[in-house]
Amino acid sequence: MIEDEQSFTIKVPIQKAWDFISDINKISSCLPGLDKAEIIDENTADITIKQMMGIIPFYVKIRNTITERQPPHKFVSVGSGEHLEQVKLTLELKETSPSETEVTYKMLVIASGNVKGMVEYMMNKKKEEQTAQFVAALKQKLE
Amino acid sequence: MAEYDVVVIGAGHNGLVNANYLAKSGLKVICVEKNQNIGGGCSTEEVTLPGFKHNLHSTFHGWLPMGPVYKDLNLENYVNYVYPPANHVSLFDNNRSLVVYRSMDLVCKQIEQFSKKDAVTYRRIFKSYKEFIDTVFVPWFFSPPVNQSDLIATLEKSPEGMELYQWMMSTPMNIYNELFESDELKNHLMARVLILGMPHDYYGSGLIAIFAIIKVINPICVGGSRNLAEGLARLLKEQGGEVINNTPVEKIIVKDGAAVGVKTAGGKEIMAKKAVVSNIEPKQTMLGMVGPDKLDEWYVSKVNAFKPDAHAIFGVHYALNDAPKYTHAEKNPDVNMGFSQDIFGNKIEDFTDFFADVRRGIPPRKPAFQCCAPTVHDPTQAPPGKHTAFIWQPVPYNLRGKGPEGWADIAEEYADYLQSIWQEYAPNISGSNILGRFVHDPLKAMEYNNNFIGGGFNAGDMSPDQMGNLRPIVNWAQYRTPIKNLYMCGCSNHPGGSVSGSPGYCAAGIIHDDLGIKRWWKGLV
Repeated sequence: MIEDEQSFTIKVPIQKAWDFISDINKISSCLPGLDKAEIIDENTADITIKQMMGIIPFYVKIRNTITERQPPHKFVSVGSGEHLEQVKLTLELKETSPSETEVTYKMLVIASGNVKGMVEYMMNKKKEEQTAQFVAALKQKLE
Repeated sequence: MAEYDVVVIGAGHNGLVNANYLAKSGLKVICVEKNQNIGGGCSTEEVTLPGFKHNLHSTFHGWLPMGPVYKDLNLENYVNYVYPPANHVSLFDNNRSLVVYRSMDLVCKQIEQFSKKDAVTYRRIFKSYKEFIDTVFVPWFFSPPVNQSDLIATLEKSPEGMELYQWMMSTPMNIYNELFESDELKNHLMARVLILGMPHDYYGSGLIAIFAIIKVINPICVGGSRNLAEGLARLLKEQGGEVINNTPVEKIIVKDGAAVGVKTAGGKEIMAKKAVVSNIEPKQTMLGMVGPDKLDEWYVSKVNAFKPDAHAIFGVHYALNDAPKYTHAEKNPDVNMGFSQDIFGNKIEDFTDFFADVRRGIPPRKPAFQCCAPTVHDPTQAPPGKHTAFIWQPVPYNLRGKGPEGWADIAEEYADYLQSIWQEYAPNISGSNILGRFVHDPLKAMEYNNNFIGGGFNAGDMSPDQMGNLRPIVNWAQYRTPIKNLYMCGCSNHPGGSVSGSPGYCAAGIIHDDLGIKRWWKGLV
């Protein structure tokens, strides 16, 4: 099981942040290594992530479903895919001023099958880089 | 009649690693060793003169620090390592040498002596594949064998992956010929691959050729390789486990299809309530200790078909006044400071010639040996101011027309021949500088430790048909056996030979799962 958590501030009002984050199309565009996103409905998307291991790309397909919306404070999506039992993304929003929002990003990954150990090892090695990419993408698109 | 939860047969490092993981979960474990000294492939013996410690098998433990065992078991409290300032040094004709330093920039400067283009390619390969090796290959090595199709399916999704897949299916020799132009670099890299346990021409073993470029470290176990085993034994005892020496296991006791203990050559029965774990290769474990009468015909035929190493090791161990001084050091003094000095000819094709002799059952007449003086980096392996050194040459186990017994007749003469070649490179390996010599031919190696079938160091050939989820026995590659509660944890299992602790570690995980015990360690993460 791999977990990562980071809090950061974005310079937009909480409602604007929420409108972006709760839109599956928009939030999917911030996922690190996004190769392809096919929106199924307002709560579901098929996501293909491209993760580079040196020059070798690893593609991971995940069906991602939004399971919880508490406007404008909490967003949870849960996905699964090949070798991945669960990929859970939780975003918690807190207004720190009328023009600033603190976002707490939590990622949980549980791999499965006989490559579980290897997949979790890879994800663990990449988690800080992925979190940084997500934060940068969110800031770039919102601020 | 003694009773334990688990009996581990063989106190080599994998058996001891396995025993420690189990003991830390509260199991009562005993490790039973045939020889007077523990260690198995991590053997260190005073075979020349008192105080001179000779490592008869492993001399460096490159894999151990890369994996989880070292950290999980806090081995820094039990064993120390030194890292030579330079790793492998290849010596060529006309005083040319290639020194592989720990710095990539310095390595590339060395390669530039022979080809600037190759230096660029070498750096490119390193940069391109380092992350793959670190985050995919290394965890593969420290995981129970996975379906190869999972990795291949991933590689097939991109052009870059397909290129790597093609290399994986190829031979180290093909890959180096494709990538590089310099005879010296290709020869040097091929020597590295051979030292890692692979011949130059095994199709399907190409990834090792890339690995040999990326991973070059040679940690030397302070005090000798056996100190790793001694450290593991000390830890086991602290955890309530036991180690007994001089106790060959004759039989694995099987009742109602399950292993319930072992019977020693002395007739003593040591019972195991939960598991028997063998660190010994499958022929002796399954056919010798269990017996073919308790196994089905198919399994027996597969065990019989398990191949020994592609070559045996012919070692010559020296007690010296002074460390070897190489003529090549006149041009580059660091030659003397490498972990090893490798004399494998001058070009990659030399490996074809040399292996042709090995496969014909003829001791190679072309030099193809590694020289090493551990005391240059770890003075504790000899009396103050003195040195140990060894050379090892891959040779056939079965001599043509004479079998392994033929070594008894020619070993000293062959050692003289290799020494005469070594003297051409290191003239001080002569006369009064040599205080003692011990020839460790394949026959003696098997007498000392018959786990290393065929006199090699992998306890079974590392050919692709005996690797990954095919090692040691197809459909029985997860450290389990057809006998319930009987497991295997030695380097006959995935990932094969080397001092990594991985087979012992992976088997411990499987045993925990089978016994329904929660693993106390975090795993690879």
